[in-house]
Amino acid sequence: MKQTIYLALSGLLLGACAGAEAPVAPEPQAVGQTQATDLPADHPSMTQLQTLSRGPRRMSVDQLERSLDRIANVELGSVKLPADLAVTLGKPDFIRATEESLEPSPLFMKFMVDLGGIFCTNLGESDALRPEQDRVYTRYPERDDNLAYMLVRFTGIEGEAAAPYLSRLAQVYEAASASPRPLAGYEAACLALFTSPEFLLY
Amino acid sequence: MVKNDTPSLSRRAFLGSTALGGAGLLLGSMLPGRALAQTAPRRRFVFAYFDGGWDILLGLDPRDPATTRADVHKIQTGYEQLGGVYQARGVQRRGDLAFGPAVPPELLAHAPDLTIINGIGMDTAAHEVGRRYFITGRFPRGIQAVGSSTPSEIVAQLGDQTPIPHLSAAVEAYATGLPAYATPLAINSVTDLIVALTPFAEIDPSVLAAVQAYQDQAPGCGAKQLDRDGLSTTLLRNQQRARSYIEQQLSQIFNVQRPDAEMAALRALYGIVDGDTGAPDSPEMLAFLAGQALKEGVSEAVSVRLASGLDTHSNWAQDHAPRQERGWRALAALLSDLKASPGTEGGSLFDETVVLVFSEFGRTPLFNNLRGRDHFLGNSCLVAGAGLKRGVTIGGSASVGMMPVYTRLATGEAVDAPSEAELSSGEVVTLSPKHVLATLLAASGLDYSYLREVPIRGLLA
Repeated sequence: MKQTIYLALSGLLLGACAGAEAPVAPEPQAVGQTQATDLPADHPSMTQLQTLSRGPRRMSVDQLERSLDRIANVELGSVKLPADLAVTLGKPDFIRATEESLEPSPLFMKFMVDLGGIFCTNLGESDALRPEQDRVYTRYPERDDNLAYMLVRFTGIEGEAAAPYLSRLAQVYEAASASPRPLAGYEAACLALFTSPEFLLY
Repeated sequence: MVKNDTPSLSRRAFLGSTALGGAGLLLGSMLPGRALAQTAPRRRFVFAYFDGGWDILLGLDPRDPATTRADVHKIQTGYEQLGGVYQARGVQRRGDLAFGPAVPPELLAHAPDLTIINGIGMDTAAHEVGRRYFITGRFPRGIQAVGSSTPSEIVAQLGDQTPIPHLSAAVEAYATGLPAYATPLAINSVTDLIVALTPFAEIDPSVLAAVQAYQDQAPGCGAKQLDRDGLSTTLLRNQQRARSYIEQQLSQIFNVQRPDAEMAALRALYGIVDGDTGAPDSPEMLAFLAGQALKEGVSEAVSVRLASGLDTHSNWAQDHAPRQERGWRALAALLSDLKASPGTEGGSLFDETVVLVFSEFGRTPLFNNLRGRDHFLGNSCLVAGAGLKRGVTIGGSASVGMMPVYTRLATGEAVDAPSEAELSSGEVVTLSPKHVLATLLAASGLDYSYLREVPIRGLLA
């Protein structure tokens, strides 16, 4: 009962948040026939599960490194943070700490802006040297298409749910275009996404 | 119908409200800490951690080697194995206090202002558990910390008064269910802190301004969906907090390389020179950091690691005493710094600061077969500062085997053989970290009821 109420409240919250652009909940995934028949007789239907998953978490340092590989379109394992920085960001050193700290602390957020600044600048510098299909900032001729592409790469948000983000990212792009740097608008959009909960939490 | 302007109160409602009021009064008297928090004077806090489990025979609970025999007392002081200077020191008595050979003269000079608490039962011999027990005042669940760090609990009660209310340097820190400002800024070194306080590097100002404008807007739907446990809100608040650190331009306070005379004097006081002592996470640097944070009003509470490498299961004679001594020396410099700084109530900053020095547990009084000491259930700690008696020893450990003996809470005296009546009264207990922390909170007029333990009244000034 409690769970049903919680689900209902969650549904209201989501509905109130998005309005017309309410994200559509994914259809429950059907499981294979073999697995279904192996379930105990009183097991709830696997296709109608209504249980909530674990709560959101902050990305670990390893997850962050692999995500940056993906975003930058580089070979997996290319991004490797210095060991002392990784410890500062929460990675265990197995001397004092044996568990990774996943707190989005003020220090973590400061380092994310610094790291994001370096990452997004480097991405801009490498964009011009790459073939179009490998670029991140200027893959398409139109600005909005590029921003949508960046939004997907960082957060996986696309379709109708992307519309409010794209309008905000366009504002960021325009505001940063005062800079003489040619790709400053895209760098700003990159940094805004890099430091957003949509990227750092999952 | 005439409406009565005077608020009416039915008999039932009146009785109900007075009954609730009475219950409130009763609860108030049962939880004394709650009422105290309203009138608390301003206090600062230092929680100094000795990492690895310290040998209390070398520090806070020494024994005279001339009268202590391994076969009779099950205690080996081992002082004869130590280097010359430590051997010569032996047990160092100052008034009611006794210090072991690892305590240097610099700290002994502060002895009249210090109080030793001996005979603390840790109920664990695991590093994580003992450490987290002393940090939070709540016994961990498995090895998982329960609740929040005491400094975070304290700043949650004091309010958002300083830029970084709880600064935690190389010490684990927790904040669960507390206001955002009570979340510690947890750093591993002075370098971390300076980076955290230094303006964002290598970012075009136009880009940064555009990004900050984006961050100032209401979060998107994706962020709201991720906020089921408040994580997204925490992240966004901490993002703002990180910006506020920079905007307040605090980094120069911690720049130990600053060329001015004031910083040169601090380097001399803390013994910071090039090499080991100048390492960003050295005891000297972290003690300096704690002093600066308190003196400059950056923090209300500082957790700081003043010693490390104390887990000496072997090589005890060579390693333990110098490492412990280094921590005591860093502490002595910090105390001197606080004493030399004016407070807000006419005395020194030290008089307005509460200091706790702790480790996760003690080490066994008998040597293992590697001539080292293993983990021990008994422990001691050092306290000093505002609201606490000075120059006294509270509690004690047994003359055979050094296990904690009972302590009378009203006086702080050790009790070897309490009566049944005394034990059942709850007035004579085996001390725990909870008692120590409850005492520190009570001494500062803060709420300690969440610890579900009472203070050592004999320690309150």
